[in-house]
Amino acid sequence: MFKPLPMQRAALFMLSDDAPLAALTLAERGVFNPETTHLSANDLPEFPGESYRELYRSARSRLDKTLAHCSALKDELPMPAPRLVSEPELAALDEWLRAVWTECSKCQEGLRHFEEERKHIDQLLRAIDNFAALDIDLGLLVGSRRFIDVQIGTVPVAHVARLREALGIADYLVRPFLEIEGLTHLVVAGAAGKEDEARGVLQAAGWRAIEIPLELRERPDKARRDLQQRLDKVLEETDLQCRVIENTQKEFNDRLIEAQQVLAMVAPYAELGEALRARGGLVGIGGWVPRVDVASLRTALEERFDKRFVLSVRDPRPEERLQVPSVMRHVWFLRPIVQLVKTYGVPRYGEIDPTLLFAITFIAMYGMMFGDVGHGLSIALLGLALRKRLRQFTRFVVAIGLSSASFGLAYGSVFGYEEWLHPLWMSPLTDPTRMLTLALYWGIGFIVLTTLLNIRNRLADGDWEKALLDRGGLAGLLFYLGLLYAGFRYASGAEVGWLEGLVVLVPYAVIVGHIWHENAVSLGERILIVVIEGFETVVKYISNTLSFLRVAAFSLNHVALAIAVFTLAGMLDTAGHWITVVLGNVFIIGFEGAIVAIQVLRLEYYEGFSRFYSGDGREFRPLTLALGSPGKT
Amino acid sequence: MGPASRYAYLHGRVSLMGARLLSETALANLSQVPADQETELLAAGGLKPPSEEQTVGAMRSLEQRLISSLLADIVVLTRALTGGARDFLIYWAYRFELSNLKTILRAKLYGESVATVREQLFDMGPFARLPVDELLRTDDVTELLRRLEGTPYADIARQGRRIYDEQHEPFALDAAVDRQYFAGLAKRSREAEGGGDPLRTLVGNLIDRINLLWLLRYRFAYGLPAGETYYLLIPAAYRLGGNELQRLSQLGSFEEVIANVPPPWGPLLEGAQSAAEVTLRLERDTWRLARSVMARGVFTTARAFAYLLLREKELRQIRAVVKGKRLGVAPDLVREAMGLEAA
Repeated sequence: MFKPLPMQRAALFMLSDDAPLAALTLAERGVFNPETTHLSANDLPEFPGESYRELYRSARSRLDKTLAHCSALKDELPMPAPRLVSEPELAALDEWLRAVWTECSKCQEGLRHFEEERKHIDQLLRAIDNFAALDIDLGLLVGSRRFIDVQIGTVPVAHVARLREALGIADYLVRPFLEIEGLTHLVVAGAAGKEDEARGVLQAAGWRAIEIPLELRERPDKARRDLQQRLDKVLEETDLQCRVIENTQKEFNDRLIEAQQVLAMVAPYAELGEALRARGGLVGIGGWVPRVDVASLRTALEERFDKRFVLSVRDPRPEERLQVPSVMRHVWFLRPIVQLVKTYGVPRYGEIDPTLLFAITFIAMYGMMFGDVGHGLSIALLGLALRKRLRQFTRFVVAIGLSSASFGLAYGSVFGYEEWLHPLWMSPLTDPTRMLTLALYWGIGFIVLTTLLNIRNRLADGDWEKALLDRGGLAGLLFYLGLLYAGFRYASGAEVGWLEGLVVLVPYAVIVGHIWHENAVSLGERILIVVIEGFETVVKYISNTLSFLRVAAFSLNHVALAIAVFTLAGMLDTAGHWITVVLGNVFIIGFEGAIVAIQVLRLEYYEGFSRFYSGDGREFRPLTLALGSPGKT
Repeated sequence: MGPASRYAYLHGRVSLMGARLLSETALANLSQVPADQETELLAAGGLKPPSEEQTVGAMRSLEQRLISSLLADIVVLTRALTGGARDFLIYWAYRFELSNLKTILRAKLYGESVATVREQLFDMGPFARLPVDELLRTDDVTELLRRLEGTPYADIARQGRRIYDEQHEPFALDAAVDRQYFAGLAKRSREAEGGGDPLRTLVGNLIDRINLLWLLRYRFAYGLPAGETYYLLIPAAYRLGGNELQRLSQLGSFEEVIANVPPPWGPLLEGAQSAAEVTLRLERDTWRLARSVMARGVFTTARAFAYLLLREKELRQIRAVVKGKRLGVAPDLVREAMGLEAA
């Protein structure tokens, strides 16, 4: 629970013909994370299955695109008994998917085309009224002319100025007369014979010609009706295209489900990638397995291959530490927290897994900053009511709600009323200084703990230098404690002398010396880095500590917000009073509740995790039999 | 807060990074020393020695390393910046991603295999914004442009789609992509807080240079009419303003354009015979300007940009010398490819 599971480097040797079935077996067990093999390139120089893998990638991509296009498939599909899929079968499937996707792609392109056409006609309809604004005879715009080339159309607004200049070179005149939705309507006119030159410019500017209805001059109503008919036709064609999509969904649904199942069975072998090496009839598969699962994996392989394989495992070597994937298995309650931890990063192998620390401190700080029995219970009940949507996060929401309710008991606050309940401890506003002092102690404790964890993590990495001399290591911790001691002496009016100076300056000198030592660059750059980073060390420790004052600030803010609500309610009659109280409390729960959550998360990530948690570990990604795209599961 | 305090850290970093740039002499020596003595010279420029191999893969990996090195410098410099200035430098890094995008677009036009294209792409590290895998797995250009509409390159996708629908030409697509990018660069340089005149001068020099080269290419290599040529240039006016470019676009020959280019470009380009020669002379001028901005020591983003221009120049020269030596190209040709003055 406190660090990722111990892992074993595994190497599986077997006959080449058995490799696809072995991949399926490994996927069924779901405990084998393939890894570019450590097996000697000289012994096993070949990478088999490259064409199979390429076919899989192509088919998978086409299937994903088609599924995104046809959303009729069910989310939860049964997985049939695993079987081997041959390369010809996979090639045939890829070819079929190509044909299906080509149809879907045509549909998408068709819909896009109709949408553009719809917009164009819409613009034309809106432009008809504005043709009157043109100070020219409309008859000039219709049909071809012998000596003059006149065109009317649209370009994006941003292109007009440049177009005018460019067409000016070809002796064309440009007259904008309307601007709708980012498009400018223009009339361009020039001497006949230079149409080709003008056409190139117009094309480059994204010109779209507008056909002037012949009847526009004498019978504008007829022109409008014709355009409306054109629009109706486009809408009809769009509907038709949508029906084509529906039909495609119906027609191909069963085969697409089947394709998903087939690709799920192909995936394990294809996903092995360079973890699979071979020489002639022998293959080796490299990967990582949690130590606790090695025995069961061996049994599964024995059941399927009897003695036709060799599985060797060993502990990771120190130099492999950064490559080892981390497996975080937690009790059910902590699983939603794991997701929040992973948002920051995956723990490095051997590094302290901060999930439990995160859970305890997050829930505690949330309660401290948002302590109210009524609000807390409301959050907990809300979490339960939304459990279908929140899924595994339900228990997390209930937990922070209960924490808030518990601190509400300590503060004696129920929906902002402080007189209904006698506080088990005290209301924050009665002694703000005490609250701020406690928050400061909490912050100091948090920073000391996380720095200790960092020292431990660096020692586990074998990085003694960073563990002892770095600003986040022992030297940093001693500097921080020295700073606190000197600060405390100064604040309490005691004498600050050479001892206080020594406990601050000695570890600080070590830190600065270490920064100097680890930046082997030119002298000027070294001095710059040492000055900036040395200064930053001091600022960071102080600002991080003060950052925790927000724990007290928000608890005070919570009470103050309630007082504001009651003050407003007090100015109104009975009905208005209760409406204000209810709406005020809803506002506090929704708005302040969310802000507090964000603030706690900020404290956890920036003041906590950034101190000790590298979060640059590799997530354990075992081969599995899943219907979705591997990247999306 | 004044510019001195705001840019002190950036200034410090740029000065120190600038001190690592190889001198013209060191670069010239690099083209002459045997391969086993390259290590020391390259280490001075913060680079590991390249592989002895001559394969396409080895050259590609060298190119990737040089780009990664430049991107790493941009990461360091952007840490010391905020707001518009930071956006400007980050946007500069996206140039390499556009090169990836153009490679993918061309590959889709010519139906190249995913594996082949993947080998040609640069790893953009922290600056990656393109969903490369998704784009590589598209079945044709229209699908690619549809997918691209869901990325930060949506503007380019929309513009590209219209051009593709009408012209189906990689050249037109490439031109649209570049034009959009450099227009964005000019816009960001104006928004870069503290950019000031030196930044405007540097970006202006760059954009004027590109416009002049594109003008020569569009008019005399692709044979485009004057109006279209002018429209395809970057819509940003610096020393070569709209009127100048319109006037030059209408001239009938390469020599005529060169003879009519206004100062400061005119004297610089006097007697130039080819687009390659024009490129080299204009590039040298940009590098000279960048060196002068670096030397002036003003506290602005311009110094960081000047450093990046010089660093890129250095990396390109290193690539040219390494490639040339591995392929056994004559030293004079290598020096020419490096853009060094004649020996």
